[in-house]
Amino acid sequence: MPNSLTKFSRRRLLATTGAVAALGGFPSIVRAQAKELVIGGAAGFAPWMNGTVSQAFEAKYKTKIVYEGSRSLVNLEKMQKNKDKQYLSAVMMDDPVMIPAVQEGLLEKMTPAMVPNLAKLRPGTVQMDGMWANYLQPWQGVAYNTKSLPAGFPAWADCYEAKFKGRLVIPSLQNTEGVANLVMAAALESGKPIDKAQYEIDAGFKKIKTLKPNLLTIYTQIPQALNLLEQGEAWAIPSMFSSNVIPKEKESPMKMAAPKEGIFVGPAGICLVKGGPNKEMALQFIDMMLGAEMQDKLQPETFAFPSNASAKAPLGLAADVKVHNLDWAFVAKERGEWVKRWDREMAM
Amino acid sequence: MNFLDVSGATKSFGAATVLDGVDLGVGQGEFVSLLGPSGCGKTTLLRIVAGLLGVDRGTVKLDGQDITALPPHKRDVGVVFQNYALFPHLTVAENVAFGLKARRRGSTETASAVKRFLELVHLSDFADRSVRALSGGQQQRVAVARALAVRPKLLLLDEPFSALDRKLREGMQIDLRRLLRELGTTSVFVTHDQDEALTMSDRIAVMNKGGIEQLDTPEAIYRKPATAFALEFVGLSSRLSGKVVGTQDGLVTVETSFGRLVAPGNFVSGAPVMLAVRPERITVDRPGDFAVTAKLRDAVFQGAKVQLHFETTGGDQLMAETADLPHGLPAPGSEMKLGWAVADTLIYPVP
Amino acid sequence: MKAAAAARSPWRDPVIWLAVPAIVYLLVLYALPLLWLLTKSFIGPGGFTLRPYIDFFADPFNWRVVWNTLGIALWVTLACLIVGYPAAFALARAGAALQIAMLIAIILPLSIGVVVKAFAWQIVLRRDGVVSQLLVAVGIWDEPQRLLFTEPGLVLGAANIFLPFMILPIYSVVKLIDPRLLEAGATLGAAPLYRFVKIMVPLTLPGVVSGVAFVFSMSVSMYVVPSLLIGDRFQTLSTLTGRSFLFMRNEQLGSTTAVILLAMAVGVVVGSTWLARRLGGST
Repeated sequence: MPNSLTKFSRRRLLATTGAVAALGGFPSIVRAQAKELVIGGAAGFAPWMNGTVSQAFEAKYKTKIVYEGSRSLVNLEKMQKNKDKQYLSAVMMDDPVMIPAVQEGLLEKMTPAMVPNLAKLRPGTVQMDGMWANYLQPWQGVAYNTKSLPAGFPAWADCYEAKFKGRLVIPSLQNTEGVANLVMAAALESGKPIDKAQYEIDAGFKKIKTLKPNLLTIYTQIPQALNLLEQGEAWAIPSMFSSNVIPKEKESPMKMAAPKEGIFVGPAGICLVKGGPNKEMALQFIDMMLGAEMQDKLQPETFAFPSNASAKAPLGLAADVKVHNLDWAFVAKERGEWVKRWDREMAM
Repeated sequence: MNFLDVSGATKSFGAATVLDGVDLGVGQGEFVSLLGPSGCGKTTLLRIVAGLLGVDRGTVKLDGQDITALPPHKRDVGVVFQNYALFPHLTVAENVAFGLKARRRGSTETASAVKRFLELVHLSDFADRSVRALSGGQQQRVAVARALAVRPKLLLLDEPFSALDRKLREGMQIDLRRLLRELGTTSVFVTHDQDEALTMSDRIAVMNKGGIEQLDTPEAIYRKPATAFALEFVGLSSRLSGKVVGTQDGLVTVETSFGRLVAPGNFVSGAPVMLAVRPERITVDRPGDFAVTAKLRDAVFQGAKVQLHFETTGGDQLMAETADLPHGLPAPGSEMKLGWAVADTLIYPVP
Repeated sequence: MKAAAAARSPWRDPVIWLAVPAIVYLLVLYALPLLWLLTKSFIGPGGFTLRPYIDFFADPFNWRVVWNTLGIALWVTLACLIVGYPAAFALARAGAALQIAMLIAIILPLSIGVVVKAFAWQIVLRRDGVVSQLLVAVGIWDEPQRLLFTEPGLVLGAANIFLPFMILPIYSVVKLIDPRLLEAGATLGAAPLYRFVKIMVPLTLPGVVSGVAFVFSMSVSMYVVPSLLIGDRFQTLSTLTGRSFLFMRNEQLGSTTAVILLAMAVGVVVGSTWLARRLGGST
């Protein structure tokens, strides 16, 4: 009986003590498990983290991956609370959250010597000299309803056309995918390329305010936005993650468009926790996530943009698509003020 | 010309007929009781007069006006409810003032009427109390004052004493009757308590199964019950069943288990009948128009009088009441001679 | 006299100790965190400060947020009262079988999550939704309009979600009112409207006050419903609070807005109770 109980609940127990440790702080229990690697990340990644990734890693390194999926901010808090005795080995979270983690000294810098695949990534995907790297980046384009807009959604600039009166849904600026609209507005207003326009936020606000008549609503919850699009009440969602739409393209009248101005790649990063347990295995895990083989394998599950230069082109995108990376350090610094301004200027 | 005139009132609830063509006339200033067992339709009749219930057929007239179709608030008929239905959120004085305010009477008039009626029910000192803080008797008096303060043409009382204990009840019955007489208020009083009805009423309507069996003065109801039901419901009586064996000059001779007895009436020979005598009309050891011998089963001492129950056969019942027993309480089993007058003998057909 | 003696010394009554678990529970899990929250907004780098409040109210946008919050809560409460009051009467006076059916119809939806309900309202309030079609069919609207993501739409949806909390307290009061009180009023010469105003209204006031307090305090602080039915463009104190804690990680701003929200809710609840007492006492 005690035996079967241990067997049955060991994993759950581990996860639970992990959570408890995060709050109360007794991580030594977890550290005793030598053949396990605790990874933090987004709750939405759990299916492929516990599936494809976990299987491949276990087969190769005989080490079990224990995945703790939650929100980026919660992952950050877990690291902060256990600063002296980390139990997470590696964490996958968005760049805006990586920045405070770096500032608080929670991350350990990685080099190509430690993680060989770092050298094989596309330019602009290794952040802060190797503090973290982007692996698979969900890309953002325009999601549209194929019944309402059979001709597709060719350009971001079209958002401002009068025919879309009350038919567009955009993300709140507090959502990660919400920044792209402001930057695109800045580019349209200033006439500058995206990498320059992303610092012209005044221009961005000036332009995006003119979008108000076309707005059905501004969402904070992605499922709601998709629901509106699926029902046809909304015709398009400028700036939506590919991973939310492409898997549903077959069964519902929704499609991802990569407009001619280009797409934005999401800031999905992976990092090494400073002082985390089982560092060797953690580095192997990070290297695997950055490798072309794993990125190709995860492509049909994530529909994200691979960061490894030798990985296959992402599904559903033209080979010559323009890809924009945003300066997330700048975004992180300014976003609080932007959100305040957004509330005032975009209010009904 | 009756002040209140109910004619042909009929009311059914589903398949059950609760009132079956009832006629009732009440004169101005009169106090009439509706007396009957529960389910006889007396409360239904009261609610119909108040306008709280509609009739299926029939009319209700009050003071010469047909009020059958009028809603209750336009009828000028006051009601004292069984549970008093006082407004719990108002004080004693506010309860009494309610009807006056609803009728938009001036504030001086209202204040003086409230004062007067609280005095009449001896509750002046309680004017500003919450009605919830009052005893049952006090609440009843508030209910009476509230109903009377608007000086309704007709006051209906639905068993207003039933929640009070006996001692309190008797005093209040007399007080209420005096108050209504002083005010000259025409009243209809619903009760199932025969003593209450006999004490208070000018006339009593004995009701049974949705109809009025007899409408008469208390004395007539007691002395000459019109039907076997009225006899049974009001007061006690000896009852002997028998068969008519002879009839002559308005007198019938009936063969009973105690021999041949005579009663005033007209029945054909051979008809099955029931003879009845009120117990206080039977004399003990002193023959009247006839004398029968009976064996004592029980003697019940009741203070001022003694109730004697005698052995009978079948469904018969023989009882006497007397205040005068020269030899003391007789022992059960003793043979006693009983007598009564032909004029006191009541006779009813047996259905 | 007995009652008065008991009222003077409530601690003598051992029944009072039955409240201990609830008091401990509320103290540990509610009062203490609340106190923590309160102090957080009053303590700056140099000790006690009112700075967060001064800054908050210096910004006209925040006044608008306060007004949004209050306005929506008042409309939702009013809508619930108008719909719920007669419904509570119907419920209280219905026959046994119908009453059970009605109670189930009122209580069962409480077991459906707010998110699910908000999604359902999203469908109902669409341009081609039931409400729009109905208003066009009746002739109130000339053409279909969208109620979703508008203030009336939010009021409509939120009122539906909070309606049981208006109906049930009123129902529990109406159920206890002797129907003969209205009859008594009628026989005293009071017309139906007068009876309603002078008898039913004061007697149901305690139920109305608790219903209003429930619905107002729930709708003044609702978070999920506005975020789904009206979106990011209509900020209320609770969406602002949520964002301060969850997104901006600005605990001081979050505590400040939370305290203002709490003060508003407590103010309205206490105020309405006081008002009801006064009205109830003087009628």
